Amino acid sequence: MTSALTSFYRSLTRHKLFAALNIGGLALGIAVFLVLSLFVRFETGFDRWIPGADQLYIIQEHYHMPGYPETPNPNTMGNELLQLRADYPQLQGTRIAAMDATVRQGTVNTREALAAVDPNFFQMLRLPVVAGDPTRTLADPDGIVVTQRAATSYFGQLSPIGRTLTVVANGTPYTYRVGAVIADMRKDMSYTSELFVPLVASRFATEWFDHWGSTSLVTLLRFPDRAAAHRFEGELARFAERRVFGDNLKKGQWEQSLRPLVDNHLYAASDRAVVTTLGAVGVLTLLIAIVNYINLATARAGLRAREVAVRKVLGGTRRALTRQFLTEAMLTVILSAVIGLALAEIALPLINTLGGMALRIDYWGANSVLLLLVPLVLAVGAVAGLYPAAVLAGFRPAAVLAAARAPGGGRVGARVRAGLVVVQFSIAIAFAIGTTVMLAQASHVRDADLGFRREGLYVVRSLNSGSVLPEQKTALMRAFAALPGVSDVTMAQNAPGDQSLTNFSTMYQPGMQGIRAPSLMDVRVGDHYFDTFGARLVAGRLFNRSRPADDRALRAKGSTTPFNVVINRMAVGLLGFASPQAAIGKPIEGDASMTIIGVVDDLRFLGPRQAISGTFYRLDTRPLNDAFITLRYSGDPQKMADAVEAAWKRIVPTEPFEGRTIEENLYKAYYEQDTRRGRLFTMGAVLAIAIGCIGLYGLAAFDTTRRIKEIGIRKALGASTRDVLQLLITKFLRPVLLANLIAWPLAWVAMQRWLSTFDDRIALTPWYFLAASALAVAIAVLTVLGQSWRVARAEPARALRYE
Amino acid sequence: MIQLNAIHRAYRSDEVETTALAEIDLTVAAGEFLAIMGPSGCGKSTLLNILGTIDRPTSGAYLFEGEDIAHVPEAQLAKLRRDRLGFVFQSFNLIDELTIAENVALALAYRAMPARQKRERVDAAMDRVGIAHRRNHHPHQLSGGQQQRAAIARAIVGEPKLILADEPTGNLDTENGAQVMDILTRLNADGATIVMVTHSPAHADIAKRTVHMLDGRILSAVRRAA
Repeated sequence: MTSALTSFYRSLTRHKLFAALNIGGLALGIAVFLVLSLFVRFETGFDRWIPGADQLYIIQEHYHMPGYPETPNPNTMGNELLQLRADYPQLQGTRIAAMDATVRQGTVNTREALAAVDPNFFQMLRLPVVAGDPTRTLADPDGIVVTQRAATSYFGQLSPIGRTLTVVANGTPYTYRVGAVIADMRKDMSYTSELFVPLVASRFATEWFDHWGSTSLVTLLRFPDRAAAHRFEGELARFAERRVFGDNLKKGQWEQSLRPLVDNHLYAASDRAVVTTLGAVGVLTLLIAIVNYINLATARAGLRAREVAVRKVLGGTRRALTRQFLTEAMLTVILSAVIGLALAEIALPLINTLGGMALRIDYWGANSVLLLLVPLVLAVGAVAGLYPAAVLAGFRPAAVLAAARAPGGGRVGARVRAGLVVVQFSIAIAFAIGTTVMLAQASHVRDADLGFRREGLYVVRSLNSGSVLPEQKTALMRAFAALPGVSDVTMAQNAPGDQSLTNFSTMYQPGMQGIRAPSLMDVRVGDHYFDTFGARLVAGRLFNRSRPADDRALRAKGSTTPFNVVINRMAVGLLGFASPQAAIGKPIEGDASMTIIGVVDDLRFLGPRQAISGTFYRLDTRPLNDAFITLRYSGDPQKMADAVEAAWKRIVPTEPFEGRTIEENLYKAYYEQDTRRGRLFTMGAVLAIAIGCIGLYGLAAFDTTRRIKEIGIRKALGASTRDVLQLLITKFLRPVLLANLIAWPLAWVAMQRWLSTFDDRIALTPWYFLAASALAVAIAVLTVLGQSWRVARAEPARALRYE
Repeated sequence: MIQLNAIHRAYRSDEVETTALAEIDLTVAAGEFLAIMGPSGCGKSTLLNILGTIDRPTSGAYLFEGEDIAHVPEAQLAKLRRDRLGFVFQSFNLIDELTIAENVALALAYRAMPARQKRERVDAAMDRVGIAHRRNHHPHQLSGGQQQRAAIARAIVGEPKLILADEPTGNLDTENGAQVMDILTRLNADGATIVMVTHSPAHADIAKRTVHMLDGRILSAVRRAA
């Protein structure tokens, strides 16, 4: 072993460049692979670690109506579980309604995540308990279960059990007694909260709580296995026939199915695709690094041909030589793995910050990185060692001495290396194209026309807790409007990046019921709504709050006279109008009779992945429920935020304030996850390309060194520096160019699929492919040029003396 | 054809300066067959390399057909080598990956010439040295004598005015050496100027003139009647 180590150390220090490229490239590859496999494990491990989670199924609803979003909704009506239990007494299930609440301690009010759950919640989802009995606690209507973090935050070092906490939910304060403490929420959970209280209908049931077609909370059912769950989906259809279908929902429009809780996090195909893609980036980057290692090792083998020849002459058997080179390969891979692990550890805090994750390398236990690393090292060491060992040990000593070129594994070896370079650069170029397209799409999303002016808007989000009184809302509107720099203020049920209440209504032109009756999104808006957002009027006029037909506030309760609505451009076609102009003044029917007075351009308040819904807006200048206030301002955003918060604290001192600029709100709601994943992908792709170039550089260095004498001969025969450069670069460029042919279709298919998950997307033009390929080829040329230039310019006489 | 005036060549490594050639004056007339002799390390090969423009003198003037080429750009020298010079090396310097025909064709690779004409000239050159039957073999499949003949074919395929041969018979047995000398003599008779470095007095005798070197200097010149 000592002699193996000595020989290993000498081979490292003798060829420092090769050693650095070899070990550095492989270490980088291993680091990228480790980090991305941690990411994949994190993303695919959601909820799986919770005892009992694998037997739980979420009831999800599907709507089949024109204009209605197709994505299944994993929420149900509030009382479905009770009705199901009445029909199926053996059925086990639990409910969770998550909301924001306010914890009141004297004059201090804190916004906190609250979940109203059935008392058996913690029996179904066995979260780690720190103190007390959560199930017994929730049997008491005034019992509360808190996380360790919440306990420390409200009670400090004191024992929390038995202490009371005032929680304001839906505007009413309740006093709860802490009965149990659970461990802090992890990031890899679908449903999290800081406080858990019993789901008491009188406290948490809203007016829509037991109406079919509304969605108030998450209903979880427990089955022993997937087959049993699948069987019960048939029962859900029969249950719907019995209990659900009536005037509100009709058969064929609505159905329910079961979604395994453990599949919930990656339920959307686009999310699964991202995780698969990033996992593939990790594996392929590692593959590129392994290819590097093999290429460099076989190439370098040529430089050691004389050593091999001498060892053979001295009686070294093929077996002994194989063992020597295999040992060296194994030691190199182990060294690379250790460096790779260190790199991953160093990079993780940064990656966690960039990617919003809590990735961690475990060394012991079931998730030990060693379980991944040890087989990896053995496999890579064997693959990366055996082939070079076979090539090296197979040299014929006589051939080594008679050659003008140092042997490099012969023609077969050269072909294998060229083939492997094609593989590497196919992957690297595909990554480069992917990165280019992702960056272009990200920039498109940032700059796209959303139908409104997104800069200079500020949204106040804290009206939603139900605790802000109507008079306070009116006072807030007045105070905000009076702030210097504010040009418009509006209150509405939505804002860019926010919509607490989603109502869809079936609408139609008179006589078109059942023929052309799309589901349109129903949004209540306050005065100055369109002005504040800078929406573009396409036809007709906007609301005028002095007209009773426009403003709900001016109409008598129960009035049935038609009122006026503004629709978006999308709704024009859905309702069957030929043009926006044609819709103006036309009556439409739904839950009431209405007249269209205006058409605005589509406002994209939701994310770039969601399709724009046909929408109609109705004006109601009274303080709205489930509302957001949005301000249009000019000047410094931070000063504006401070002024808005100060006004809020003056008028609603009991409620915590929450506000953001629209850019921030949109980012948090829709762009953040794509941005973070995009960063991970870019990071992996850049490193993959870099590792590929390390390999190319190493090969070029090797090949030019090996061909110094040949280049001398060529120059003596009249080749100019340019001829030689051309010869060397063309040789390396050929596989890189060939790689484009493989990379393009792969990248095309992958990026076409990725882009199809966006409703608002860029077109996939050849420019992205040309740009990425040009970049990859340029980098490859520069990589090779550095080596070739030196050799091509050398005096031929010196080259001819070179041994 | 060639005139060297006070050619000096020194190699510098770290702080040691080694003089390989000192104050060499040499004239080679067109059509000459010149042999250079001397012990190992006396500067024969350096002189030949400078004559072949694959090494540059540290100082001094090199007139090739009246033109001073000691300081012209590398690209121009490449052209000169391509069009007017032919090299024969002691260790043949054939490229293993290429066949004999490809090796010979290499000397025409950097010239603009129709492919057919190139092929004809390659065939003619190989015929002339008698290795046409080995055209598709690789160098390591040939004997030393055959390899050297291939190298000579490569040197003459471009129809150079000057052939530089660095110990062309040094790695060959007597019979093969004699064959190579025959070929060189014939080439000279056909009009080529030849400068040859050799250790063999017998082979030097075949040349029309012999220059003796020691420690980087020319000792004497012996001229024989034609």
